[in-house]
Amino acid sequence: MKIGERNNIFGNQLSVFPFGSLSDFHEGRTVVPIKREIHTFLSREIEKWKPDRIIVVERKGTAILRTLNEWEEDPLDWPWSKVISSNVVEELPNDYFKGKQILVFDEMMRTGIHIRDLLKKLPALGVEVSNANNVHVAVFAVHEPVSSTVSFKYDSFYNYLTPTAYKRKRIEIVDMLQQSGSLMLDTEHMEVRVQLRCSFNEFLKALRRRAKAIVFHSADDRTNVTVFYENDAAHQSEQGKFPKGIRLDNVVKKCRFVERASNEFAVIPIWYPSIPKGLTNWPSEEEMTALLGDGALKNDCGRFYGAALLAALDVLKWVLKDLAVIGCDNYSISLPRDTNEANAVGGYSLDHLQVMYPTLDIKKLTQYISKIEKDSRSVGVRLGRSSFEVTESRFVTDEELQRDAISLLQLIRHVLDQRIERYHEYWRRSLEHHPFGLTAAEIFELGARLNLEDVQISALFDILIDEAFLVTHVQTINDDDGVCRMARTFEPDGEIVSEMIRKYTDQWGLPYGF
Amino acid sequence: MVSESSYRQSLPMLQDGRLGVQLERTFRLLAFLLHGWSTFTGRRKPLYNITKKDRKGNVEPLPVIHFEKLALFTSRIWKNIYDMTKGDIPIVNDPTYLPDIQTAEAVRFPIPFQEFQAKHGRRIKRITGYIVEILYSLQKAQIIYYFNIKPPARDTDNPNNYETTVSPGFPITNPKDYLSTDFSGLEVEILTDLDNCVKRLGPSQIRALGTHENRDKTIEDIHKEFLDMDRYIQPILVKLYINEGFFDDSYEMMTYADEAWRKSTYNRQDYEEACEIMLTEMKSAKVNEAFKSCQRTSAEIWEDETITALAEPSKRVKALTGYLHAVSYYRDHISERSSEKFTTAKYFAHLWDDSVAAIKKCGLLGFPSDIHDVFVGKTEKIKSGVCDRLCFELESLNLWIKENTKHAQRELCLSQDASGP
Repeated sequence: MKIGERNNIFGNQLSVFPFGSLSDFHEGRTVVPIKREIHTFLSREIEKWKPDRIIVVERKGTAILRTLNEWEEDPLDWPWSKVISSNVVEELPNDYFKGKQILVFDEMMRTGIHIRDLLKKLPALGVEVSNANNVHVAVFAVHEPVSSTVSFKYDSFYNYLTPTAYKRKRIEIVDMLQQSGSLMLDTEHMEVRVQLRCSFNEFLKALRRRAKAIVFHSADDRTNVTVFYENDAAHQSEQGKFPKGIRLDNVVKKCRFVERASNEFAVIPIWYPSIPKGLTNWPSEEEMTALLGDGALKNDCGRFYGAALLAALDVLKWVLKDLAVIGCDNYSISLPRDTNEANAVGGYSLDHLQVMYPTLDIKKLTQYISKIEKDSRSVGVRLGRSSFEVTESRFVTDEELQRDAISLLQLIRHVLDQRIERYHEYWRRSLEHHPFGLTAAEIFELGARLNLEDVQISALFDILIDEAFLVTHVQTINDDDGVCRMARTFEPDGEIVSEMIRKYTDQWGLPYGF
Repeated sequence: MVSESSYRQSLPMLQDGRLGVQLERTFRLLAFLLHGWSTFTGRRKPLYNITKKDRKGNVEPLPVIHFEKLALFTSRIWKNIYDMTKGDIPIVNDPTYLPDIQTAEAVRFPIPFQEFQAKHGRRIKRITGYIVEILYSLQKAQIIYYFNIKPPARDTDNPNNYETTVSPGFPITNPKDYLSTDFSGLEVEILTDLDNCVKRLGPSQIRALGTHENRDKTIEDIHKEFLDMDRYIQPILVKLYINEGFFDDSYEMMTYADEAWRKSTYNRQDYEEACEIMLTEMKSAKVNEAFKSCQRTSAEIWEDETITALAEPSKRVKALTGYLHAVSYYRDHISERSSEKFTTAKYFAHLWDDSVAAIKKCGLLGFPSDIHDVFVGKTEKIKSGVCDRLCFELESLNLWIKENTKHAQRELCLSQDASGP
């Protein structure tokens, strides 16, 4: 059974609700695919407001736009250069929005807090929010009112959805994204693509040369591989790349492979160092500064993502070197194209990264990746002449992973709830700080208590993020060495998922041993 | 091949489910244990403030804190056996299904509550509230009569008041009949065994079993008490400096100090006694195994460097905060410095004597043992020398807490610039 096939992720004693035709009929489910609905809605909004810029709210908004842009049947013709994520609007040049028509797009809205927070930020960026003629909000599906936070005007495709209908829409959107290739994942990551001409086992053997790897299957039976890199000598960053104080251990450091087509995988290197708050004089190398642009230097969030991008280039080196060991005849790497080149046609580009890295020089990044690929190939080929031992990883079935994913999610929610309760008890008021998640190190500790290996835990992150059960943030934390850092944190994705997990935990208890 | 998200299928399962069944059975099993305890006429360690006249006929009520600890302890043992035996339960795709009583030699459901750190220790709660709050609301709505929850007359609608008592809501004349429907063979075995053991425990022993489980949680709980008392230090320092009353602050601080001392030192004896009674009376091998797995021995909990290191400051803080609170009382009640006419005055006279003795025992010097020597004549003003000593000790305590509870501080975002008030 594959991850996407599991019929009861929340416990094998529970039945599958009959999501058949009758319940669909009662809840007014339409036969039009959700992709078409969103496409129609967004196209109409673009036509209506003629925006110069689209601001997408958080991660799913970007993923949806990418799905629509890459839809072969009817691509949404909208350039990435005119899209920005709500997470990084403060990294933009001051005149970016000046005199521009802006469309804020979110796929779903329940309390409207995220959009409200975004609208609050805009005046400081030179946008006059009170002027109804230049900022417009478009939300695909809106929950029936749950609070008074929605104080702005908006257009919607679905409005006043009941909790059940709202949940259903959310599920349909997540399904759509999964079928488009787990796009939730790669909205902020670079990627290269590899076409295999050898057996999958040979490929896996190469990946396990100096790391542990887990294979699992996601929606549409896509094969996924999570390669986990230990904090050993072979997997350190280039000397001098990061200054003292940046934390490179106890953070997410891995490479994901997601099947895109038959025998073709997207290679997605990921490394999120935690950076000290208020870090200055970084990056020191002009070359890196030129690559990342001013945005990465403007604030802590920009520096965090900048560090992540540079660190991921190291991961790319390791993985391409490992791949080269199987010999050039057994695979081919297809590199991203530079869309600015006159004769650039076909293939794929990294233009979508502009949404999260507005000042990133995509051309330079593409050149870097190309150089890394060349260098890694030559080193890898040399290494390939000598035999190597593979790192043994425990074989884990999709069913085991799905069970462990839910156990881990339960623990994450429970620990966060304990902290919220404690916060409330201590301060005598509710916790209003957002985001409020756990760091990777804390989650790895929880996973270890479930007797899981690090590589398994790493794969569970991927599964939970792909399923839209877990959402990522950049958050200020007090690290265990007393330094205040910007770090990657994780929490269950919104109140709907959280309530579901709480109910499940109340009913079936925490995992064994807790 | 299926392409839909697992999310689609998991949500509705939780919307329906059998939560109500589990909840009702949990209440029923707790009512069974409480009934056994309340009607037991044999010898056991009494609770100092519950006298025979509090018994209604043959029924002894259990204070709410102790009742919650009984529920917490029971849920711990129950969950452990559930985890051990749930693999034996057949898988059936029906949300209302509970495995057949005859075939299931298993605990078929966990107690649907989770453990949370609350003001003075761990309590069990679920989305809708703490167990006693849920039971009280059901009682008020006249839905469930398994318990009779009685808040004190001065706080009639607050089941969380520590003076609230819980007694059984109905008599169980035949325990065998009571458990014969809806509980599996193993569940009956566990409940009968727990009933036989628990009824021999005094309230303080039940409380100790619920409060303590292992070394790590005990340390975590003691740190929490210290951190919670810390927030009253600055307000008291300011009030001492400007000669203002600080009765409420010193009361809160004293209650946290008392809890820290109980958890680091005092509870050990009750815990040891409780474990001994439990292990002597226990007949079921499953309960025995679960008990040993959940409840570490007193040596494993308290004979530990970290806890030993916490015990000494706990004693000092208990002495200091008792002294401070008595001073705050006599500051506001000048005439009672020489009189013990009222019950409250008697209480504070005791507190004063105990605290003075404890302060001496801890080697804290420079604190007068006569209350009249604390104040400038018959005024509210505390003598500067005494005030300086109090401030010095409070500041030292503040530094000690900051240094020794770093992990707990991080979890509360205490020094994180993005958080905290």
